[in-house]
Amino acid sequence: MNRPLAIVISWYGRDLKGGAEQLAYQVATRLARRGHRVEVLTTCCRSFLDDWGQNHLPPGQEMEDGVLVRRFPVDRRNAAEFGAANDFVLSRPVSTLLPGVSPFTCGTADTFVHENIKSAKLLGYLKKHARDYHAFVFLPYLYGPVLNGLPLVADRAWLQPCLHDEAYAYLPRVEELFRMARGILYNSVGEARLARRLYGPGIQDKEVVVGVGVETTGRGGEKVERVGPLDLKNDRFLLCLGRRDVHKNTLFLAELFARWKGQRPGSRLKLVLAGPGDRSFDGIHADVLDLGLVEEEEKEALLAHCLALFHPSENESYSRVIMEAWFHRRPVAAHRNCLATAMAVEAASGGWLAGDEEEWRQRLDQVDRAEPDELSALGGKGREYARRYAVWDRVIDRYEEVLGLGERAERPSPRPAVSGRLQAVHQLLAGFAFGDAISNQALLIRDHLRARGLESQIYTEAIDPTMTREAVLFSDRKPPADAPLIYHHSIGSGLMAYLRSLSGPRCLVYHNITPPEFMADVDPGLADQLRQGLDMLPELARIFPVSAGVSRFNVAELVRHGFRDPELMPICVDPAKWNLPAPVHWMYELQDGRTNILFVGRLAANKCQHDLVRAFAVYRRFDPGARLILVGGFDERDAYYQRLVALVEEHQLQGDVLFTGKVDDAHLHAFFRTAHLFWSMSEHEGFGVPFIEAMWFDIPVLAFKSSAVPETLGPGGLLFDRKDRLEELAVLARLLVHDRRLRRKVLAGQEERRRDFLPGRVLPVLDRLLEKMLQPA
Amino acid sequence: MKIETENPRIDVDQLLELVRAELQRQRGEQEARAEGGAPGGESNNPYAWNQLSATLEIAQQNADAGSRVSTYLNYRPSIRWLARLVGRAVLYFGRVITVPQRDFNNAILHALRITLNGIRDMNRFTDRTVQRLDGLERQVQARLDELESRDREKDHLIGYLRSALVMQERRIALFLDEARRCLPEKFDQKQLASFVREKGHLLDSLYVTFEDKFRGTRAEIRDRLAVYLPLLEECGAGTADRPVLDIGSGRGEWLELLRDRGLTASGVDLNDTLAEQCRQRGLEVTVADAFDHLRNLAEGSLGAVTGFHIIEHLPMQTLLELYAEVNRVLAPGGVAIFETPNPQNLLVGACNFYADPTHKRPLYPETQQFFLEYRGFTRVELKYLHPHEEGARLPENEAPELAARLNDLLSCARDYAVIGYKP
Repeated sequence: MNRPLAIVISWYGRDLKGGAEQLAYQVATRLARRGHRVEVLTTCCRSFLDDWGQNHLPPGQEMEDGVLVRRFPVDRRNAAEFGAANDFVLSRPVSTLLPGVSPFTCGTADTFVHENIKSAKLLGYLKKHARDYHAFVFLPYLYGPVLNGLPLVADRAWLQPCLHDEAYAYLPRVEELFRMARGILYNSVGEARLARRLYGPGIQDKEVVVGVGVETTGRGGEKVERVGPLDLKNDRFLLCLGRRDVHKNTLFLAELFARWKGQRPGSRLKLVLAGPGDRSFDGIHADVLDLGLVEEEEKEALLAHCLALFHPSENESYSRVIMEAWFHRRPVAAHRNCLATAMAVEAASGGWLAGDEEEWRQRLDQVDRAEPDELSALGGKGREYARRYAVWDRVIDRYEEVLGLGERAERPSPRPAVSGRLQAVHQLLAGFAFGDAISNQALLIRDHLRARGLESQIYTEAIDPTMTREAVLFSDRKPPADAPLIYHHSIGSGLMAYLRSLSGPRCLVYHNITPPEFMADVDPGLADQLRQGLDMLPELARIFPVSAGVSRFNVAELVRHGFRDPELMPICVDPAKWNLPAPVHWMYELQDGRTNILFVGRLAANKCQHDLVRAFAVYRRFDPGARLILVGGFDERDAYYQRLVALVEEHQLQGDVLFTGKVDDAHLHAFFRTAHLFWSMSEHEGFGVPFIEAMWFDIPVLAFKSSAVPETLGPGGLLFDRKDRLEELAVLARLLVHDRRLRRKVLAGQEERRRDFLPGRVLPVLDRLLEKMLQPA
Repeated sequence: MKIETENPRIDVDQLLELVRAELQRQRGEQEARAEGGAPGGESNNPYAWNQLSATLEIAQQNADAGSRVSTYLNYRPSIRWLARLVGRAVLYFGRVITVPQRDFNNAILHALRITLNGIRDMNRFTDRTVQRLDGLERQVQARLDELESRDREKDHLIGYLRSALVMQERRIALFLDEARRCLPEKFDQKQLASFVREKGHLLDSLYVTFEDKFRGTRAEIRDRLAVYLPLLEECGAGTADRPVLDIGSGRGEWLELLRDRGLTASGVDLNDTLAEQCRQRGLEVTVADAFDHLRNLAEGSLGAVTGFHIIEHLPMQTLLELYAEVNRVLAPGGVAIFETPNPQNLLVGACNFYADPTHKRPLYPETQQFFLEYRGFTRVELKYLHPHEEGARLPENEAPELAARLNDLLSCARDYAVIGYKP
């Protein structure tokens, strides 16, 4: 690697306090020690605590611990205006912040971005020398050089946000940074989860949890026997370590412990508090010992001898002490509401979570009664996790891998799996429309083929006017009859004569045909077309020697119609398509505290929106504020739509059932982001893309068991088998919305399932199909 | 309903149990809410809001009019490029108008949104106010209801006191009369006996008040009794030579009804107070024991003998004697009617019958039929009356068979009459 890596940060120096500053220093110097060329691009301002408009340090470049540091002068700024904007946004309580909705007014947001710490020289340098660097790491997310610098070099920029759930994270520019950066580096799983909650799943494919190293590794403090009044060897104690203030819940824990001791007079357990802070907790109870700030060695000794670490803070983005406790094989109790610490404890299984007072009390009982072996076993699991994520060597390995530094990262470019005989593969389908699952699959296949160096075009009988760039009208130009062709079949069409004339390698992908009887009453024309599509199948079986269905359900149908050995090629559902902002006003309107129940799918009798409206009417008895959002195209003259409207009126749900019509991805994004439950009563789904999409947005899925639905859901979501028990069903839906425990379990299943439809899993099947197409019959 | 999932973290049976328990809880809460009459949902029309949002959305989509050229898909590909070129040129020259127009559009949209938010806040305020007023209205209504029911209680009490007072006056007058007569000598045996007789009537006014409270209004009773009129007319009772005798005539509703129909009737009742009230209404009622009264009547002298809710006050021996005596005094073809609570109705037999502490025991319908026949009546029949109102029936949609059987037991006739004719 010839070109250097640049770390961009507002302040830089070995002795700077602050998590991000320390992180930048450690990463830069440790990478440099491994022989990588590392530069730091920073300002002449000394630190966060100094005046951001002052140049304390001289501009220019110098080597510091093997790292080339380039400093650029800061410009004068309007500190008063910035201060006003900052005060304004800080005055908003966190509980009032809504993802996708800016807490700033237009003017203050601009002020915050442009009157932040700023250096025109630094920005100019980035612009001019973007190509001279291998990659840029920007951190943390909320200062001028990142807000204004990252967009200049977005295609090679890695954002390391050090994100907290605070008002700044809701700034539109910050969301833009997450969207445009090439990759995102997180310190913890919880931080990644927070980012996904704030910006949606569109950023997940570029996120990497690199972790943060912790200097201690569970040794030291062996010589210490007493700390203040505490006898380390003989006293049984819990430890609460770190700064003590209101936000850290230290007082809560101390008082709770005192009350608990009152009920358990026989217990020998003590609570030891250590760390800086203004107020002393001595005197709350004889067994609550406040040691204040302790020496490093004493800290190690405390960690080594405590029964467990209790960490009640609700506001952490990464907790060093948890890792330190785990290095000492001590279990940890963390607050359920703190995403970062809770996720770590959960992922490591290295302790317990607790939320309300009762739960904390149970944890105290648990520790008091536990055998030493039990505690060490839990702590041991924690240590495994800490060794993976909190040992600097492992962390730096990951930086190297992610940023493509060193040889390890240089992988040979993948050899085209498809035989060299192939020049072009085209696709043909009856209709090509925006947002349609089949069209999206065709686009994905085309892009994949083009990436393989093949010529590839999409031909279609009918096209949505907004999509003319992506496909060619079949009536304008036809694919050559001898060229390899993938035909997507889902409805009757006028393509039969052409298909009969095919002579080249060919493959049929079957997307299922809705049974015409669902449509007979409401849309006889469509029903005829569907019937025609079904009638075509036996003849298509003779024309296409190679075929695939998008679900086992479809494969079985192909076999029934005489196709030989159809393959299974699921539809690809790639969350990267959601890397776009959702319309602000919808995000605002739909996060008004009411429950949003969502179903996505064309308004059609087989999708049974009418059953859903009925069920929703019952659901409203238990959740009167709820609204039902039916996303899906319809024609106002359509009989089925009229029937739905009448039904809505009959149940007096006007205004609580929203027919959105066909919407673009940005709007759909807003509906998914704000939904609490995805509820399907559909009786016929050939695959069900929206079910998987809902999983990506962490919306629990509740679906009627029919057609391909059970197969698509797999371990995700819940199925029910009858529609006549509406009250039970409504209560189940309500539990899915409100019962956190059930929701967590369902979401865990969905998290597993959704990965099965990522391009990485689906495209290899396509390659297999192409090989099969080329084999002589 | 069955819940299914391949997710091993979820125990579906346990979940279903949770759902059912939750449903029970929710139903309970809903009932409590319904009783409390709390309003559900929002009062201002969210439909309109959604429409507004949707309309604004359309406006927003079109706010940038004149910035894009159409795809001209209807044109043949050969001239499509030309159409697009022309389109672009038109847009370019149109900028003079479209640029300020777009600014205007966006400004107006922004202003509209601010206004709408203001209105929405006002709506919320109105909602809260209306809810508060509703609450107050309910409180006032509850207070009024309470006052009304207290009022009724007091009316009853006043009625009781009034009757008691009349009786006391009568007793004192009697007492003074007797005292004056015997002074300066002691009470003789006859005087003592008159006191003793009066002692039997000490609870009469209490019973009157009790009847007023539990029996029903005069109009109701009259309506209920009207059902027997045709029987009397059929056998020609109620004429001067075939008069009607009502045993235990009580408040006299039946006698009044007969009088209004122009029929000749009289009553006999043990209760002094009631007899007095009847006499005040111009009805003929004798205060006497029914047996004494019947024994004094000539054989075959009555067209009909009736008794509503009296036979359940009598021991069996007396009852059989009563039937015999009634048979004696009826003229040939005369009718005897005795109405009594129907113990076949579970509620009546198990509970309501005992509301009157002077009732002896419930009387089984067929037994009474047998007794009358045994005492020489012919064409003895049972007539079942007064089923429970439709509203008290169990709904039959959930478990129809069970509900129907229970309805038979709980909602069948509350009273019956045994009717016999003198041959």
